[in-house]
Amino acid sequence: MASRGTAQRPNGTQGKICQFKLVLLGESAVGKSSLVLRFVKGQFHEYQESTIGAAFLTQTVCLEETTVKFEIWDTAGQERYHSLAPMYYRGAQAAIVVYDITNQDTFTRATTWVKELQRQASPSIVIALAGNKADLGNKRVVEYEEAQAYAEENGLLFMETSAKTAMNVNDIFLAIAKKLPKNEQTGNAGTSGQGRRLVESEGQKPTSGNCCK
Amino acid sequence: MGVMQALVSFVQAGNDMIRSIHAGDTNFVFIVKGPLILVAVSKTKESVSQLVLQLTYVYNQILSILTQSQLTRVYEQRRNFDLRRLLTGSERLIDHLLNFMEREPAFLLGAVKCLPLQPAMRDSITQTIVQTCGKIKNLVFAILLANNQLITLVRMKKFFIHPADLHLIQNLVDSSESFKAAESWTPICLPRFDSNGFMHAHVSYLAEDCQACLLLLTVDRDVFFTLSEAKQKIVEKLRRTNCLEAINESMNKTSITTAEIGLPEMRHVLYKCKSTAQFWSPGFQAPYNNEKEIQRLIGCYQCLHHRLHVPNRPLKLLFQQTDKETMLAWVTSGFELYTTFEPLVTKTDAINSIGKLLKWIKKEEERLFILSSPTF
Repeated sequence: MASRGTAQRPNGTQGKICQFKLVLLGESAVGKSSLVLRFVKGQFHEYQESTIGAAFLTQTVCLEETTVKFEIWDTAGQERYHSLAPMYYRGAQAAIVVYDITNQDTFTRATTWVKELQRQASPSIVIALAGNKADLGNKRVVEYEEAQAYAEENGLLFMETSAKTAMNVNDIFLAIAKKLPKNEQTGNAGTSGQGRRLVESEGQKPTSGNCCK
Repeated sequence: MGVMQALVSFVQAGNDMIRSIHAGDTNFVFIVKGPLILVAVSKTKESVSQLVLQLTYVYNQILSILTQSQLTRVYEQRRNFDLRRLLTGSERLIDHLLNFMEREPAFLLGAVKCLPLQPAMRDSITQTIVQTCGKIKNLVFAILLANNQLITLVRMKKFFIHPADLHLIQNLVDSSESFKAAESWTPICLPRFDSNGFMHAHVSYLAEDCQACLLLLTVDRDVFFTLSEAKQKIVEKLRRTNCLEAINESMNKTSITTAEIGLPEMRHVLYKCKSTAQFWSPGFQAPYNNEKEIQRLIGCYQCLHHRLHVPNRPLKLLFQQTDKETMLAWVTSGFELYTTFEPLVTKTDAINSIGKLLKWIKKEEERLFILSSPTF
């Protein structure tokens, strides 16, 4: 419950705080951890070691009316962790399914993740599709139009991103934040399983760059 | 790979088991574990039993990633399964483990090293963990590591952690920079504890300004947030009681050398306390001040260890003089000692020096070792 509260916004007005659970899914080595690190810490490592299990991070985004706090689960993409995935997308209000634009198999894998989410996750989940490694345009094999058409058909948000250049990284999280329902009912329904309290947001500085656009 | 398999099968067909092949200066050592055959090809002076130990660690590392039951199941379904598929992303753990074993005497000794701390400080850290986590159900182990050394370990009553499992945990932490960037929730199998089941580890560094790594291991996969909150509380308390500062101070201090202890003829030593499976060693000093020389020294310790522990003729005492160093190894019921001296030291001087060392260790014991075994 209680995924909302009030906090002093940087511009001095009182705003509503909504807390959402977001999960990143996708084949291994498509750049899930890199996207999250870029979004949360503004960092990028050319060699990002593979995630073991899952990593948990939080980041806050300010919208016009509300402040959205993302609780992000960055999952490992390897086959052997697949059976653990429901633990992370269960109760999630948002998901980013990531593929690598230079690797067709990762796009196919992304579509099966989308299907699994549509079947098993919360019916109101907001799903975004991210075609990562957009900086490697000369090695592209997944066409923008193909992915966009797929996303439209399935009602997904879609962007091509680059964790390396930061292209569209904040934007995709912001787009999700905007699309998430912020009325009482949905906000409560989603987090009820988790029972998270909202205390730590107070006084936490939203990072510049994605704040109050 | 085909040849290796053929060799193993051929010998197995005669109801026998191939253990090693020696060709010139190259040794081939085999172990068969469940569905897997592990082979080491080595040109070093390591003995067969030491190479077997390395292979066993590699096998345990694989179990730690997959569990034995999953490994067995996969091979029941497909006898020619390519294991690399299931291990993608964890290659670094195996790579790192093998490098780790070359420079860490911990594996050879079957022991862990503790971060030196004033006993009152260590107690205070331990009590903070016990008090904060005591009521959390299904929490089996809480482990705090810094620079690969143990700060404290709290366990559930009736359960113990084997040093070999602790080495796998150290390997995981030391090979994963990403733990520094976020809280992690990591499935891990501890083969000596339960080779068929996963535990879930909440892994995080205490703070930006205190790079000690806390692992909270549970059998309950749904308690991440409970453990996350517990960790926050632990850090706040440790900060208030100046424990973070004490940890940092010890982490940043270069290890004391034998010269500083007042043993000029002794260059280096490994001391293992048998009852606690902990060891202590001083900082390296000349001539062991580069990677190559350190590895050579560890190699000498391996030879010494091997000669002392040959199963059919174990020794209690060994004095060996070469052109580069003199070494003395001594095994008693309470400890194992491997000492390195200047090449020209006399036996009497070596023994006197060891006497002084043992006195010093006795005096510092409470700071160098964890003598209690706290539980939740």
